[in-house]
Amino acid sequence: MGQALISRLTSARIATTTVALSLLLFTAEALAGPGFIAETQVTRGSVYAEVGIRFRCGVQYLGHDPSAASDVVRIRLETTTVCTGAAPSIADTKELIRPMSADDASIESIEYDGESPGDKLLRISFSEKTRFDVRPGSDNNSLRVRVFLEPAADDGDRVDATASTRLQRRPVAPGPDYVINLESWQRPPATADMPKIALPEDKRVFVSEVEIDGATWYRVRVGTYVSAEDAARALAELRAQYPDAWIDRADAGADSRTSDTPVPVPVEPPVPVAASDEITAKAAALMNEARRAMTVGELSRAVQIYTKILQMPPNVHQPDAQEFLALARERNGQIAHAKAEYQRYLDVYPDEEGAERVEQRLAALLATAGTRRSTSAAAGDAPSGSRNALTDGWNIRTFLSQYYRRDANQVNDEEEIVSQSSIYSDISLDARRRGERFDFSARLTAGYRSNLLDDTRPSSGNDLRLSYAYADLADARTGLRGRIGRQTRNTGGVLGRFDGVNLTYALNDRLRFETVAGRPVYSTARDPVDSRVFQGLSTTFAPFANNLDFGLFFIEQEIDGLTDRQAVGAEVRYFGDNQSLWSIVDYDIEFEELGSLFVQGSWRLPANFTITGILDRRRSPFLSLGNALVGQQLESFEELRLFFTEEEIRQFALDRSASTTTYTFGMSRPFSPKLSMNFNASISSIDATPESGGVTATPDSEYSYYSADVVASSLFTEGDVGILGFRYAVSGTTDVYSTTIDTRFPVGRGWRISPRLRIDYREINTDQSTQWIYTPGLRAQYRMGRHARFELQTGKQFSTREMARSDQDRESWFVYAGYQLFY
Amino acid sequence: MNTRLKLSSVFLAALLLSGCVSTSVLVEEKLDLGTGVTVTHATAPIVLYRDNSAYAAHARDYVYLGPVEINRMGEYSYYLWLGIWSTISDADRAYQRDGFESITLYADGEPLQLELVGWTLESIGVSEPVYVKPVASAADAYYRVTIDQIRLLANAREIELHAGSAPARVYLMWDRQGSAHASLREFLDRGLFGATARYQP
Repeated sequence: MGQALISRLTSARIATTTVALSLLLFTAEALAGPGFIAETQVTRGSVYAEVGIRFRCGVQYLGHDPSAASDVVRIRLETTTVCTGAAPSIADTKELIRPMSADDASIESIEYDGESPGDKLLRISFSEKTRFDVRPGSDNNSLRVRVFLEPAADDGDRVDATASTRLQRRPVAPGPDYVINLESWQRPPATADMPKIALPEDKRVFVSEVEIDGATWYRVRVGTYVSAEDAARALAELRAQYPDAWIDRADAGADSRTSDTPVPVPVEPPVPVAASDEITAKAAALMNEARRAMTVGELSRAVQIYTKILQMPPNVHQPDAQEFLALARERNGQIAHAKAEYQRYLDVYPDEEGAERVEQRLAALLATAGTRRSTSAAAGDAPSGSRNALTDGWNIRTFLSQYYRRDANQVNDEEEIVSQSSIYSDISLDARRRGERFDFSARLTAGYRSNLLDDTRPSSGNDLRLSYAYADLADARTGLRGRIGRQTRNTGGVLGRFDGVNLTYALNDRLRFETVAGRPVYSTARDPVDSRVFQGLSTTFAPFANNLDFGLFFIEQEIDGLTDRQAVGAEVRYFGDNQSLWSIVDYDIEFEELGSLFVQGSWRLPANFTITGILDRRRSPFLSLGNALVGQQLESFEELRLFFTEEEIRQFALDRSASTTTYTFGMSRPFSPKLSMNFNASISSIDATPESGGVTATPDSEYSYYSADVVASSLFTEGDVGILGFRYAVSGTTDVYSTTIDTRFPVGRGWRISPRLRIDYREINTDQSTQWIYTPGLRAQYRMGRHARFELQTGKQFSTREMARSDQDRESWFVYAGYQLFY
Repeated sequence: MNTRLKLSSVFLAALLLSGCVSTSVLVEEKLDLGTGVTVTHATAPIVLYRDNSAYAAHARDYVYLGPVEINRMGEYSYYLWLGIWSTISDADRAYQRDGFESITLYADGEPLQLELVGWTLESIGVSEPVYVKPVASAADAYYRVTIDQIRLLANAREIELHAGSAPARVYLMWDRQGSAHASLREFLDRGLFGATARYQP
């Protein structure tokens, strides 16, 4: 009695704490939501990365410090009251962001402080001491920060590698054509530079000229295409040869001049003797600088300097610059460019003394194409530890998570029983290497559960789970792709995880053929216990038409030499403007029975009403001969065959695979931007199974529920949300009425807090008893920087069951606490 | 096949036919009458899934993922819409949203850390639903992104979503989604190639 009182007092304290915390959270200031910084964009070039920062309001750049290299730069701003999509007061807030591709500019964070009484301050923190330059943008609400990637003696000698990009969209002209930009040069491309690609008759290669930031670029292009989709398909085929190609509108280069091809652009050999002494001296100085860059492995910088020399008026150093430019690209792993540069040397300087040497280099490159890149990298020609080395080589990602889970319960005044106290650890390693032709990736995902209880039950011990262990190789040239090892697949009749091989052949962007073979994996914690193996074929037409994907499959699975399942099936997926439909059907031709049918559809009606429906009919467990083991006191299918004939086993399998059908209907509608409602009804039935093979019959059963949810946001503070749910569930034994309140609050920059409460009232028909269940809970999530997240979830359940002769009180509680790390 | 199944099949076949005969586009642009902004979105979202075999053998959790462009008088902002739903009728829908306040999307291994903007239309400043809900009980979640992040997703061969920490929930990309990829490419074409291509070398 005393314990019960203490328990109730404890529960009351928890409930009070939860409510108090909720009230506290209601008043907490929310910092989430779009901030003063509207957009950031990092564009990495060979010499510098350009960071574009656009603000919601107009800004005036006042200055920055320090001017010398530093790991932080403070930019002083003055804001105006001309704002877009926000009130001017947004400029008086604080904000901390990290832009996409921040690593490309060595940026750790960008912090805006508009709360200071003086100037507004933008502080950019770098991961290392960096040289930078700050300029106001071309409009009145942006800044451009150039972050130099390598130390330089003279900024004036720098060559812009890329131009800035902007996110504003220009008005779209009606019915434009599209082109594919294969490459861009800072000099007219030579014959050797022109692409050696087969094109349809109606396509041509041409060169256009455009001036960006004062520099002239020569774009080698293919076109035109009547739609972006056509261009994208063609681009996919060219991607292997031109990984940096992109699509443009044909009219985008209004300043372009074009010429039909395959047309080599005339190359005029320079006249070295025409150079003045001043030009020759400057070229010589640049050659020395480039040579130093080559010596210390700064290959990208060397490429820029040699290119600059070649852009100068003709001088005696240009043949050497041309040769070394090719060499720098070769050492940098840019084999296609290197070949083009060597070829250009031979075209322009056929009589130079280096021509024979260049010819030999080019021949060697052509002979070792495909292997040279990796060899070069391995030999250490690339700058040690440079970003290029990482990008061009392996890309390895790691994901680590660990969490603790504890479940405990107590009936009446009895001793508390801890049913679980475990630490779950999961690790995932992804490795990837992309080449011009091949794309290789591999994954290993494993988990381990440490049981902290002194429990000898087999199910509660430690266990090791292996979820993924595969290698994958894709060949862009042939369209072949293969994956071997432990993997998952959800189409083609495969039912999830398996150990085996999957081969894909993409005939084109729409049509694919696949073959798959392996052993199903039913548990990641244990080795397969039976002898099932399967093989299958499938094809996919996607998109079959606009937004319609269609696939067919055949699969056969064997168990102990007998056909376990043999099925054909199809998948249709359609997304329209106002409708969606997804259907998967699996028909077993061995049993001549429907294995599964899943149809999900939704339809948006006028006034923003959306109606949805799901039909799910399947055999449960999934129809297969191995189901005959269900309920048998035997350990393996092999033993079953000793006692029963194949025909009997087939009948037992059917008998054990009950048909289940679920119909779900739903309706949803937003009543305002802050408020929406949905209603759902679902009816499930499980057919009876007969007695056979010594296994008892099971009766049919039915379960249905009806629910309604109201979702409302910004109830107490900006960014919060509250969900109020009602639910009524009916089964053969119990009627349950439930109410749930789920609230979520952003607190500060990293915290999200979710107090919640659920109340259930049950009418148990078997003994005419009733039961009240109260389940308060609290969930907190904290984002710790870019690489870590922490989560805590705890809850307690109090239940009181009133029976004819006595009452039963039960309490249980749980706690999950864990973290995730990403590298 | 019982009567209910036949009726359902007929209804859904009619839905399919009506969908297929309608004029479908890869990207839809419309004026939001309540706020006056122009909303553009890819018609076919990317489908991610997670086997929830701990609950039932056939149970799957799904996440639909689609880009949204909001044009406020020439001021463009980009969001990702996530439609979070499940084939099972989880009695407590609160858990459906758990972990989605802060998610990590992996586009061919490149991690994109996304923070939730909100669960309702208010968070992106529109008054009408952008995407068609797959099921009525699906939770809508919106995340602010850049067009660069959308481009990463459009070009990715594999996309993976991590939500939650205790435990972590991992969603994988459903096989073969030609329409979704075409839709994303078209979205990018309209949103990006028209302007920024001019500034590329």
